[in-house]
Amino acid sequence: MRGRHPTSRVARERNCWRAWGTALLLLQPAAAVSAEEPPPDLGLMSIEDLLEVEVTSVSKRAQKVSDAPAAITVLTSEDIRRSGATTIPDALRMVPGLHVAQIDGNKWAITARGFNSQFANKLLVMIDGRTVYTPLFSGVFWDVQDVMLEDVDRIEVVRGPGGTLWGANAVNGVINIITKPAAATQGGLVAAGAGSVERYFTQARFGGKLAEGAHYRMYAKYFDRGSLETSTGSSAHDDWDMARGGFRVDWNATGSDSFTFQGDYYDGDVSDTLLTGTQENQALRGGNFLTRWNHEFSGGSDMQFQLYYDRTDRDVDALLTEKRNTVDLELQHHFQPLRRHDVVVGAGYRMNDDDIDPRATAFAPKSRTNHLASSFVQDEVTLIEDLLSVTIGSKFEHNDYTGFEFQPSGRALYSPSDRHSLWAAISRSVRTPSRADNDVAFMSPASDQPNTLNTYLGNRDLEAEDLLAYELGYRGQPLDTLSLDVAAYYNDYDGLRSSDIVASSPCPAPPFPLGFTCNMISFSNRVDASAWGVEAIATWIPVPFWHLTGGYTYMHVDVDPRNSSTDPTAVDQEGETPRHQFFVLSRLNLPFDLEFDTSLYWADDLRAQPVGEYTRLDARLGWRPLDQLELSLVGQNLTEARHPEFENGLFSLRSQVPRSVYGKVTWRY
Amino acid sequence: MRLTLTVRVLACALMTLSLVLPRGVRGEQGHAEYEVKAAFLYNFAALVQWPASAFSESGEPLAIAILGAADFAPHTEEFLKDRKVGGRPIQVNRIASPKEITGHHMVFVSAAENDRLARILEVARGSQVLTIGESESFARRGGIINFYREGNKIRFEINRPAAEAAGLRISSRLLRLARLVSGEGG
Repeated sequence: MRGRHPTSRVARERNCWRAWGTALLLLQPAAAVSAEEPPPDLGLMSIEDLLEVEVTSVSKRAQKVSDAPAAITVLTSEDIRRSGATTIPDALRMVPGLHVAQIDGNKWAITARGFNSQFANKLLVMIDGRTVYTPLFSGVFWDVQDVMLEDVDRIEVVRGPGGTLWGANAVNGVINIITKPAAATQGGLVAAGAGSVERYFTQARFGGKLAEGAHYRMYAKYFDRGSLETSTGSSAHDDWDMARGGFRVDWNATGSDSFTFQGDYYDGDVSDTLLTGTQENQALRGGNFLTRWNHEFSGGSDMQFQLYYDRTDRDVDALLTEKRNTVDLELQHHFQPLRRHDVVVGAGYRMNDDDIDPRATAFAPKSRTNHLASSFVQDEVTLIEDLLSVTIGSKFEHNDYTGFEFQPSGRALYSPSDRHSLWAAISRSVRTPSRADNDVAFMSPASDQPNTLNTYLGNRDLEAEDLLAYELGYRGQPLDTLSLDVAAYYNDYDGLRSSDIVASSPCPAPPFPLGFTCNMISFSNRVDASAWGVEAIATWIPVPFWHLTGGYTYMHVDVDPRNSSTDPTAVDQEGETPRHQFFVLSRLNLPFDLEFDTSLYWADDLRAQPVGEYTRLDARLGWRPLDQLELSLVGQNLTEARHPEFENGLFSLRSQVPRSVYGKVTWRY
Repeated sequence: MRLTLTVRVLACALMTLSLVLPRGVRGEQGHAEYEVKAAFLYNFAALVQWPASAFSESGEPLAIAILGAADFAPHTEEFLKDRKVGGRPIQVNRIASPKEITGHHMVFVSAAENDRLARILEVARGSQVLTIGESESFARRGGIINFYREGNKIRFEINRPAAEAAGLRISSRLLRLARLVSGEGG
């Protein structure tokens, strides 16, 4: 992309970063001086301010086990910091039940419980209550999903259907990325680093107080990631750079009303190599604004209203441009109508408006506006105090593709003792068709046969994919130093999307080369499937300064095309996630304020793809010579020179993930 | 594409600006952990509502028990002695045995009491007591508020079902700042 800009603009950008570095150097001594003011009187501080007070003794890690009747894993910003991960996908490697595979320098295939692909369509992802699942292809464009990782409060990963609360497409799981309230990110943070794949990155956040009860923060970050490698070790031409900035304001207006306003804007470029061998660039831009109002009624009930606007612009040089506007509003009420009942009801409306300029693809129509109306109700009933509770509920939705959908679930939690609990759930979830499923036409070389070109045609009569899921879990703390979480599931899928060959003939030559076959492929719902698996995670703290976490995932998918199906690749979905995966994370606090962290990940081979088993070892050495200063050195993928993790993307060639290192300096003031 | 660079220049300008802006109210290093926790206790007392039956008369003091933290109690007493919550004076008692919890409105359980946590929570469960702890499994095992550390800062988590079971109403302001956990006691 660099060549495309007039030199003066590039120079201006470069100068600004240079100026920023200088400002940093000049201003830090001043910050150090002001830190010596007498400490403020704690008694006069609000609780929001107290959360920002630094204390002096040894750190204690809090437990993160929550007793919900579902398979939940929670990552905190501390977990992310010590993993050395610089992207959300890399952080998600620490969650059992997920399969995280990097396709190239800026694309990932991420799924829960089977069916992985670049557009894994059964996993819903939300950032601060805003959906980032694209209705274009059904899936997540991970290249534009980012936050200031230091400001993450938690990433909650719920495996299994979440349709009852979150709606369609939360078929196999939901990832909720939640940032801290502004009151918890007061003061400044400046970080910068450089390395091999992480060429350089820099970020800053500043938080302050607007008035009593009103706090703000703003942040900006920029990274320039280099290319991964091809199988021979040369550059894969898949670099990625992005600038991002945003703000958040939290205001406790009265004792019972509070407001949140937040927004982000990003702008960046990615490169990749098309299946045809051509290199291309994508320009990505987008922004969002969200506001939330919380009102607490007397008597313990509360109400929440949320409204957001989201805009994404994606310009894929050779393929298409997409402009998309989303407006979403949601109202939620939580109350206790009877003793032992805890009820949440909600209603929502979402409008999606896109404008596509198809280049190597065709979309008919080019622009489409879709409406989604939904409501849900959920009741948590305590049957026996401290022992048994059940949660039942359903979502009711109307979408423009398949009409009315309902997604009920029933869950039970049994807690026979202080340290052990069992849960079970039955739920139904749906995946609704995407814009491409309905309206696309595109041509692509067949992945399963040489000299074959497939033309895919969307189908307006496509139905939703259905899942009926049965889940069982155990969560416990057999020892004070050991916690354990195990979940098992059986999933029964009905009417998955199939890509059926409806016509096949020799390609006309010219324009096509001689001897090529042209297939016409149409989407329909002619595939059923079942899947089962087990996910386990255990944390052991043998001594207070050493935390060990181990995770294991088993996934088994059986795909059963109906007799009417002529989809030769449907069964490949059985081998698009590894059967076995495990990880071991070690977090060690050493004397002299040193931290030594290692993360080992292993994934079995992908039977449907030329991807063998691989081991990935990440290591991090951190040092905090001052309270404000943190230095770290991170090595990623240390055991191998390079390895592939997933087959080609939808249109682009895959790359191999090389060994890499980076160093980082963080200053908090 | 013109926007791309403009935005990057803006992003850089924003980052530079963040360095020169005045800093807001925030804590400086140097406070002992227990000083900060005492200040939190005071805030909790103000942001939690006890049922009317928890007090026998309108001016009755709010009684806070400290269990198992020898260095904490005198400091807390000093910190809270002239303060009032909702018109009530605050009274701090150092106690040695779980059964003395009865009659208090709040109890702080130090990490040293981990071995008899089950017994402590059992006594507290029967009465309208706000239990506050500082050990990893405290809230999950039925305690109401638990302190934990995140780097050098003190955070807290709340077991909301346990609070409701004790008849206590926790303000939304407090809930928003907490990490919510559930567990026994709901």
